[in-house]
Amino acid sequence: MALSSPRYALEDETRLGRRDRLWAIFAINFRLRGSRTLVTIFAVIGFIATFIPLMVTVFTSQLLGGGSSAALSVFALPYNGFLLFIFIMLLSALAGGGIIADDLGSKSISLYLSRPITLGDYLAAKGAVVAAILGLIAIVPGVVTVLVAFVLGYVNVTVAAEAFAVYLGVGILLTVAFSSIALFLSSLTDRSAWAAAGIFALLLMDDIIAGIISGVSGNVSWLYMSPWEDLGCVAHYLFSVPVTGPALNAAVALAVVVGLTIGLAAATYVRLSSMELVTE
Amino acid sequence: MLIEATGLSKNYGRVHALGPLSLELPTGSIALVGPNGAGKTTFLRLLMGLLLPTEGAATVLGRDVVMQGLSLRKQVGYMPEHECLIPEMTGVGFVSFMGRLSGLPPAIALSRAHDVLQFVGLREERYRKIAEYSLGMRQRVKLAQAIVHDPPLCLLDEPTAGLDPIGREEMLALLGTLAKKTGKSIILSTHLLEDVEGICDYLLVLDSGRAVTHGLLKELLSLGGTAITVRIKGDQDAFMVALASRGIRAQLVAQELRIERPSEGEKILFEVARETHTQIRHMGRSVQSVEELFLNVVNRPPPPSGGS
Repeated sequence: MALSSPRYALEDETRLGRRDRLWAIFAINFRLRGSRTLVTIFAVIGFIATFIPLMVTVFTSQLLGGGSSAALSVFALPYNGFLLFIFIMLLSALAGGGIIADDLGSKSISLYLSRPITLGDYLAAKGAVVAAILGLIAIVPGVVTVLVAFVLGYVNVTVAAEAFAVYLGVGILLTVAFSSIALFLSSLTDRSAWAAAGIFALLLMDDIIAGIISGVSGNVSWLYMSPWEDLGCVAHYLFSVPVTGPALNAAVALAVVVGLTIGLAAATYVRLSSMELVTE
Repeated sequence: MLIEATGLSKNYGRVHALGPLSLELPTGSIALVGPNGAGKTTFLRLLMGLLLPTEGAATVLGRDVVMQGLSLRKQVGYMPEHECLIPEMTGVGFVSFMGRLSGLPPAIALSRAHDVLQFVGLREERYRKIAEYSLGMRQRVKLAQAIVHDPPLCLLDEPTAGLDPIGREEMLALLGTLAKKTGKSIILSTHLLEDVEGICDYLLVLDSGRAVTHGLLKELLSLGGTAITVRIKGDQDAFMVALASRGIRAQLVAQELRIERPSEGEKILFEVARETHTQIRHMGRSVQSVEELFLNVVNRPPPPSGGS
C-alpha cells in the first residue's frame, strides 16, 4: 500500500488546450503503431522500393536528355505501377487495422472520451496517425528524390518545385483517403486482425474487380471504383503525363476520392456515435 | 450542490434506462447503489456528458452536462467498470498519457503519474506493461488514471468488481483515503452494499432507473429515528404478541426486536415487559445495515439466511 497520497493541487493554468491534447493522442499512438515490427519493416522497404527506382529513373532521364533537366512527368513513376499501391495496402492494413479496433477491443475508447476530447477530435488524431505512417512511403520518398535530384542538378528549380508540390498534394490526398478507409473498416470490429485482413482484401479486390470489369466491358469508367486508379489519374494529370487512349477524367477522379474520404469519415463518426449508445 | 438533475431521463430506443430523476446531491462522498441494470452506469455517463439525455437536464459542478461537456470533463475523473487500459503501454506511460489527455503538460503529467501510481500502490510495477498486470493491479491503474489530473470529482464505477477479498479491502482503503483526506467529491457506484459503509456520507439508491431513496447515509440507516432496538430476556414471542395487541409492530432482527417507536413513548414497553414477565436488557436507537435499507426501499425479500 502507498504511504501517502498526492496532496498538492494542480493549478488550472497548467492545463493545455485542445491542440495539445490532440497532439498527445497522435504522438503516443504514432509511437505505438510505428514501433510495431511489421510496420517498421514495410515502411522501410516501401521507402526504398519507391525511392531507388525513382532516383534511377530521374538520373537516367537526365542522362538521356543530354544533361538537361528531367521532365516533370518522370516523377509520376510511383503512380505508374502497383508497387507503391501494394505497400500502401500493407501499411494501411498493418497500421490502420487496429487503430480503432484495438481501442474498441480494450474499451480504452471510453477513457479517451471521458477526457475533454470529442469523438471528432479522437477520429482526427487517429486518422492522422495512419496518414503519417502512410506518408512515410507515399510522400517522403518523392520529396526526398526531388530534393536530392535538385541538389545534384538533375532538375531545374521549376520542375523541382512543381514535383515537390504535386508529391505533397497527391500524397496528402492519398494518405487521407486511405486513412479514411482504414478508420472506417477498423471501426467495424474490435479485432484488429480482422480489420487488417479486411482492409487489405477490400482494397486489393476492389482494384482487381474494377480492372476486370473495365477490361471486359471496355468502359474505363469502372476504374473510378478503385481509389488507387483515381489517385493515379489525378497524379498523372498533375505530373503532366501524356494521355494515350481512353483514360479517366482527373476532375471526376478527384471528386470520387474526396467524396469517398468524406463519406467514410462521416460513416465512421456515425458508426462510433451509435455504438457508444448500443454498448452502454 | 455537486449535482442537480431535473427530470433527467434516458431511453435507448424503446428501452427505458433511467429516470425521470429530479434530485440534488451535495459535495462529498456519494454512494450510488442499485442492482445490476438499475441505471447506475447510464447515470454516470449522463453526468459526464457522454450520453445525451432523452429528456431533462443536469448540472455537475455548476456545468450543464450537455452544453458544457468538454469543460466538465476537465473537472471529472472517471473509472469505468469494464476493462479499458491499453495493454502494450506501461503503467506510468498510460497514466501519464491520460493526464496529457486532460490537458496536463507532458512533464507535469509524468510527475503526477508517478505520484498517483505510488498512491495506489504500484510504485514498483509502474514500468511494467499493463498486459502483465493482475486484475487487482489493473483496477489500481484505472483508479490512478481517474485522479491523475487532480479532478475535484471522481466517478468510480464498480471499483471493487472482480477483486479478491484482500484486493477489495485495499481498494476500499484507497477509496476511503480519497474520500476523506483529499477533499475530493466521489460518486461510488456499486452493487456491493458493504463497500458503501465507511466511505460514503450520502446514499442514492437506484432501481429500474428510478431513484427510490436518497439522503444522508447516517440518517437513512437510523430509520429517521423512528425505530428502536430492544433486547429481551424471556419469552420474546409473548412480548411481540403483547405489542401487537397494542398496535405496535415489532420485527425480530438478529436476536433483537426492532420496534416502531410507540407514540405513547418507551414507557409502554416496560409495561408490556412486566405483563409478559420478560426483562428488557437493552434499548437503543435502531440502526439498519445498508443491505437492509436497500432491501426495504427496493421491496426485495431478504436473503434466506437473514435473521428477520
